[in-house]
Amino acid sequence: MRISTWLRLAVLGLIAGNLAVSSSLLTAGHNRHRPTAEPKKPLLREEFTGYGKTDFAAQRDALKSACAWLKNQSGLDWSPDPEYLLTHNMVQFGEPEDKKFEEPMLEGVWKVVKMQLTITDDQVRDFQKQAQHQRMKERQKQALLILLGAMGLLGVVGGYLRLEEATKGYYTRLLRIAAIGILVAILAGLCVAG
Amino acid sequence: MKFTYSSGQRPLEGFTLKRGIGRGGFGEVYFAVSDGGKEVALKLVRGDTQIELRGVAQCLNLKHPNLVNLYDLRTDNQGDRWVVMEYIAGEPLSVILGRHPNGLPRELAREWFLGLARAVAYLHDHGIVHRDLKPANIFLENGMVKVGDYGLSKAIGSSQRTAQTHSVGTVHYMAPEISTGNYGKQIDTYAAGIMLYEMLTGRVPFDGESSGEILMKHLTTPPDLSKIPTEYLPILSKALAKNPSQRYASMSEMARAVEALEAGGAASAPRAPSRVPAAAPTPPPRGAAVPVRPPRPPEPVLVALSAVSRRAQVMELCGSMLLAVLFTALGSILWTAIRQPKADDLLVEMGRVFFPTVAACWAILIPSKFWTERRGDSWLRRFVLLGIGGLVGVGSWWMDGGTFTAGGTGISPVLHSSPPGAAEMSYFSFYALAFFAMRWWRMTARRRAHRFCFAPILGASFWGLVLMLLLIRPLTVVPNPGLLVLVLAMTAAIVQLVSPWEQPPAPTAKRLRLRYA
Repeated sequence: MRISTWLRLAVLGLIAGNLAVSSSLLTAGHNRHRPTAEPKKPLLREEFTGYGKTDFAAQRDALKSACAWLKNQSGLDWSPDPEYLLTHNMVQFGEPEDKKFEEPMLEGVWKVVKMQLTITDDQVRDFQKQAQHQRMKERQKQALLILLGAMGLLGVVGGYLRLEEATKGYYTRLLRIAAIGILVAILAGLCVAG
Repeated sequence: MKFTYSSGQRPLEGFTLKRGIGRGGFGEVYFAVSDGGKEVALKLVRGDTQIELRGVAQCLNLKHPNLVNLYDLRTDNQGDRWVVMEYIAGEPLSVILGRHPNGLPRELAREWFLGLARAVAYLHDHGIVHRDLKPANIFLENGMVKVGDYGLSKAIGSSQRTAQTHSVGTVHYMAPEISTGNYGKQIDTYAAGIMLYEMLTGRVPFDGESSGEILMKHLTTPPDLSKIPTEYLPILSKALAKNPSQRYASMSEMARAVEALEAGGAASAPRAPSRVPAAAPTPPPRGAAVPVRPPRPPEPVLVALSAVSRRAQVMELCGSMLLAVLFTALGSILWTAIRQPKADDLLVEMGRVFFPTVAACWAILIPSKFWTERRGDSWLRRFVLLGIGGLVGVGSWWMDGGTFTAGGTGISPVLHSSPPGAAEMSYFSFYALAFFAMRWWRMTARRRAHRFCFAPILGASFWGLVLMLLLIRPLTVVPNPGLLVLVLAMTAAIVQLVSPWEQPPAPTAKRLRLRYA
């Protein structure tokens, strides 16, 4: 068979493969969104303990522990902050208790708070969205730097060629020095910005 | 291309080199300026100086508007010989043919040929055989054809091959009798015939893997005239005859035959070569029987097919790519203004349109600039675009926050609920198939029918919608998939806006009507 025939078959394969994936996802999505009488079960429940000299400090400590745990568990570069957990009603605090410690560093009475972290399916999706948003921001910054560098290079090359053409080589050396100077300046600027 | 001398050097007294403009077997050519300010081309003669200089010396005093003027022959302090000649800023025919692989329009080919024929006929009239006629030696400047490179010119009388073993001319344009060593001015007629063939079809009649194969075809194989316009058949079959005695007796005769094509068969003398008569025509002497009509000055050759050098192409590409960024930024701002996303999402949403559109525009502009369209390469182009589109898709997926990390513990499996690779595949397929579906290179063509047309935008939007519905819609990992369609539509608009455009010539019939209106 000719190579063009193989290539056409490859295109058809690409379309067919994607259609298969799409249809399976559509089916899965359809099943997932089927209305059920049962209330939504939480996807995950985890308990954390916070310590502090005051009730508030103990709660913050528990929240921080939850955030750190989420960062490790999510496999994402992003993790929610304590305010996020509070505003999205993902945590429930127990009654604070007093506990006396006798260790040298922790000597004295400390407030201990138990905190229940509950995560639903929708909240996980929101995590995903937030993480993706975060990655987008970072990558767009990187892409902007690359683009600026490329634009600088294009501007210098195009400008050099145009001026060199217009001056018919009368100022070739001067133009080359200027072009190299500008390129170095752009590179240095990008290194500083990056 | 590395030249012996660089810009600013003065190897020859009285001239400052500005830059190297060409290099060949017989030497290097520089653009230079004399101390008095005259712009000239300086040819540093290398290789077999005697052959070169013998030809130059014979041509020094020739004057013809269709010939590149030779001013002087000089020797520098190191004993190197330099030819001082007219500087031609225009491009050679070889470059223009390279960009028109299907041949030039007939009218243009005819005009080029007539200019060439006038110059060669003049050389023959002065006893000179050019011996190296080829598209690289034919230039167009200010609407005038200029025949250059007299490096191999030789007096007609010395037709026997000398003791030197140098080949004469360039193998694709080499007449069969050159191999026998017994040749005359008919070799120029043959080479001119080959060039006329090439101008009409875009390819030489005899090609091969090696010089020997091509020479053998010159000697034995009849040219394939099936692709030649009918009216040129008798001319080319005569010009390309293997036996020199069966060819046109002179270039003037061949020029008359070509010129007669327009005049409907009424053969007339070749036009006078000069564009402007040197002096006012003098009245005929008293008693002259037939008043001679003053020769019609030749019209400048059509500049319909403009010449764009590789250097100019790079300049254009740089400009187009920069403009694409500017237009994309404007489009993205406009779209964001219409959509009014949340304040903290503003830049991210703008970036989601901006970066993929710039990438897509550049991905179309770069190959289109350097890949001249050839008949029948549409599928190949589509497949190349398929690959490029796939790369744009992967880039777009990365810009949209895609990540390869999958699996893990705790809640990770939920976060990566889509099948592994599904998102990447969707982006890849979307852009690859969108690039494959349309003939994007047509939108950037210099001689497209319209400067800007809405049809490609509609086409891109249509394909974008179809592909979005087929490939993207089910995937929850693509936020706002409609943006991908917007990217395609904007790309279709921007590549048109930033690509250089020249109005295509009117059809021949219309042009003739205008000329005689």
